[in-house]
Amino acid sequence: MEHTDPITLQVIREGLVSLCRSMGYTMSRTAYSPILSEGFDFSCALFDGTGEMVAQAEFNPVHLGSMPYAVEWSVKEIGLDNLEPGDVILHNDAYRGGTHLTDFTMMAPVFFQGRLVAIPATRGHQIDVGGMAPGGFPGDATEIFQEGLRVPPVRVHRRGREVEDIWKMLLANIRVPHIIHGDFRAMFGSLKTAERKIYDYCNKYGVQRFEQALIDIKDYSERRMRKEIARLPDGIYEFEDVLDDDGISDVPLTIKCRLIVDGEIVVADFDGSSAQCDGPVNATFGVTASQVYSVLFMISDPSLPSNHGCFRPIKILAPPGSVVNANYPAAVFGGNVETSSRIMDVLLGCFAQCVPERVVGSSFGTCQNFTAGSPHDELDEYSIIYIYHEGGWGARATRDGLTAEINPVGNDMNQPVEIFESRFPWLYHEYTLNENSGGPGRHRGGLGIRQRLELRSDVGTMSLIADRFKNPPYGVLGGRSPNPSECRHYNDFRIKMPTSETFEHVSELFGTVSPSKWARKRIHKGTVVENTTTGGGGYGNPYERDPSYVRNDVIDGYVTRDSALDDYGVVLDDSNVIDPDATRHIRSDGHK
Amino acid sequence: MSFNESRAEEFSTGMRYAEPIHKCFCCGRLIPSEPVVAKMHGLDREFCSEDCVSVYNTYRLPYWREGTGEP
Repeated sequence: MEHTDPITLQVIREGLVSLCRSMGYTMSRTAYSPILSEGFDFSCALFDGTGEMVAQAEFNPVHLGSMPYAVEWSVKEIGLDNLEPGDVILHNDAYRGGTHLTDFTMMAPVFFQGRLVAIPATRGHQIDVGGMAPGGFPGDATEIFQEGLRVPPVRVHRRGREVEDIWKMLLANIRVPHIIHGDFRAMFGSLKTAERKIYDYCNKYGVQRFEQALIDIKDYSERRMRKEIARLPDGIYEFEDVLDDDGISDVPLTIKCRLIVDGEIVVADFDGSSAQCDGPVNATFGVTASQVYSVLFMISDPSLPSNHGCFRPIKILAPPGSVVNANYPAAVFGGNVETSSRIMDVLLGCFAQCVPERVVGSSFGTCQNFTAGSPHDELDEYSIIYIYHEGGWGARATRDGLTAEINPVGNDMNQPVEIFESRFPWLYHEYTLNENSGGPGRHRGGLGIRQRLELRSDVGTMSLIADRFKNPPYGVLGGRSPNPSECRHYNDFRIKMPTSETFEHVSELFGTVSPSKWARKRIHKGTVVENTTTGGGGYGNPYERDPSYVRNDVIDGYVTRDSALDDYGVVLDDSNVIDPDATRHIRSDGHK
Repeated sequence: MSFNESRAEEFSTGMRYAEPIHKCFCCGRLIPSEPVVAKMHGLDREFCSEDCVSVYNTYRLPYWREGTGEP
């Protein structure tokens, strides 16, 4: 078969990306849970008949980089020859190419004229997966069995009919089966959307030409990625960062990477990272790999089509039994959200030495995953919430960091207050920017947020997996870390009991080892929870920041007057007018 | 008989069920199908691909020898 001509190749390639976007819109419009319909905590991709990814839309990076491992495992465990038209496979097992148990991957082989031509797949975060904590994220889990139900690749539809036995077994182990079943059907709907469009392509181009285009698309991406890597300065770049703790002990965990750029190839070697831990912040190989891919994409030409071809010149070495590649049956729930964040930080730290003009300072470094289950008195049903919080991203070479954004590993959206309050027994008291939380720099880190919510039902059970309470995000090229809060934390979580006047940490109230990782804490009506996130690291020397920018930040409430003086060396009078002589004197006298 | 067929048969005939937890000796990923077996230091080692055998010989081994003294 001849190679696809360049114009047809681009038409099909962009069309397949559009197909993946359409899958996503189907998901968001038909899902039951706001985590999918509003938060977009899902991803959609298209795989070829061999199980290699050929297209994806711009959804969740940690899903998209790791989904290929789940799809590959599924088709190999079940066997391509055993797949039939109308089959649908479901899978969430972290120890079969998955990430953490709430992320289910659903895929359906598409046959045309009796031939397997493509496998659309979608991964969606389900609001519950059973296990010890409502909504998941059990911060004190020590093995995967406590984290929920493991589902190895199983066919939930066979020859177009639902396999009722599997569904009953699955939904019987979940706290909100009516929600989850609806969300699974939304995922199925997105696969049907893809199937129709794949038929259109096969009818238009013919099966053989379509299949050849899928091969050529991957090869094109490989060539583009190799060129991107070839433009990087060859060398060995090393960086390390830490996670605060694992929730079981208060010992920090090191993530270390040795990045080798050699011609057209990149090797990311995580040798030297901490051994896997008792708590639930171990990452699977797929999580670690997804972050390597994500960061490569972040520093590359954004028009580079993301698919299996891009992965070929990238090698990831993750020692088994380490926190970046845990061995069965270690707990892994937080690996996909917290350790993944730190892996991204470490890789950006490596690339900051290699191509500083293309990287950002580190972000607030957590998804600050807060879950709670409670009866909803008005709707007469059990409800589960999952909030991943926004924070500040690191500053860039050309501008300030993004403010109040979802963690870069997620690329999701928040759940609007109005939707949230109408669906769940919680009332928002506050949702504001966290003043002075951006890391000082010539370009300032973006700001974090503060949320206060009150439980309106009689009783609730809450859990948290978060990080960077004790260790701040770093800055780049003289940019600095954000300033800590009064209690010396960066990100933070506190609660105010109904009988109390003050906010306290869970570690103080319940005696947990970690303030950022715990599970199943019972609270009652009127309890207010406070989530605070920090900002991102700064970029460049803060004394080089234009004083007028600092003044504007003070007027906007982003930076305090004290910080303007202490961190930026800018002197303002009571009317926020800059004193140029005093500012020049301080800046020439001292260098932060 | 394929790797998966043999595994399925092993399970279905009532023999001991085992989690598929073979990891690549080079990159560390779980191996989803038939591993590539290569002799390293006199021992049979399982790899996820020929590519990983090559990376092990050209990068991993020299680095260990120069850096940490392992294996």
